[in-house]
Amino acid sequence: ILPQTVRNIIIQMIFAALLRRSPLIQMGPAKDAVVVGRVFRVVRDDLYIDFGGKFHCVCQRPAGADGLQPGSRVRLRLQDMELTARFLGASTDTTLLEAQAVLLGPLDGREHQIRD
Amino acid sequence: MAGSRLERFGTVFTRVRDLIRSGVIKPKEKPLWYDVYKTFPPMRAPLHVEPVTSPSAKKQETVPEIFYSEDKIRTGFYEQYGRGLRALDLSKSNFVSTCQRFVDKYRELKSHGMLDKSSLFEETGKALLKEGIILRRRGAPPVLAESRDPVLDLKLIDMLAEQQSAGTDTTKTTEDKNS
Repeated sequence: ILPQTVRNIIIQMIFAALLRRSPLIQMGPAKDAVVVGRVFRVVRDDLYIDFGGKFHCVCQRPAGADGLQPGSRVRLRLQDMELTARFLGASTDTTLLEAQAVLLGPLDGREHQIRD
Repeated sequence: MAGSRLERFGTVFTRVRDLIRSGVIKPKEKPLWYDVYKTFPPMRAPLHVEPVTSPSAKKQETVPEIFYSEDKIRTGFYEQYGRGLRALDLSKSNFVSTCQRFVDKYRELKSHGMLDKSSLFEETGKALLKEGIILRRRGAPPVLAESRDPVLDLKLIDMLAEQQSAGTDTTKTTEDKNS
């Protein structure tokens, strides 16, 4: 029999416990959720942003935001975690392997609104 | 039958036995386990049994939804306060969002057992405000609209006052005219 402290540590490492407390579950439905993303690729005006979801999203660079380079962190409003649709005559959905989000702007550093 | 490699035809032992009997496998090439299996056969012959595929069994194969008890609290929170002001960082596994703090506080207050269900919600909101977490109610007008409203209100009041004074003047004039 393992001591309680070791058991607590093991329980914390079980996937079911990790999932229950994960920010993905805390978020709930993806529609209109505000998340933090990180630009990992830039192709001219297209920003490929990874926010920790199943897929990344691609957003247009807003006018005057030339400071957004690979590595910069941004705020996004998620619309869809995965863009899928079933086309006429298909037996399964077709997926774009992309999420859809609206780019709100760079992460100002004012995310810490909790005054402790 | 003899040369079938498909594991659904009989057992591996019967297949090898028939291959030896027909002469495809020479006695020299007999597998090592053959004599052992022959002397000590297993309790259940490893025949392939088709799993029962009745329509009721198939319906249960759909993936069940993952619901937790704290989801009720979360739905209440999102309905009242909308999406949080604080952006969620999905890449951090130990991230605690505003919603999660609300849930933890709610459960803490519930465990104290002093409040009933209807007031628990408001009490958690107040408790979080005390800790310094700003909760903006959903449907609350944004700051710009709030600054505009008092101006509009003043104009309305002025207009009403003007109308009232104008109304009294006209009645007076009409009375004068009549008399």
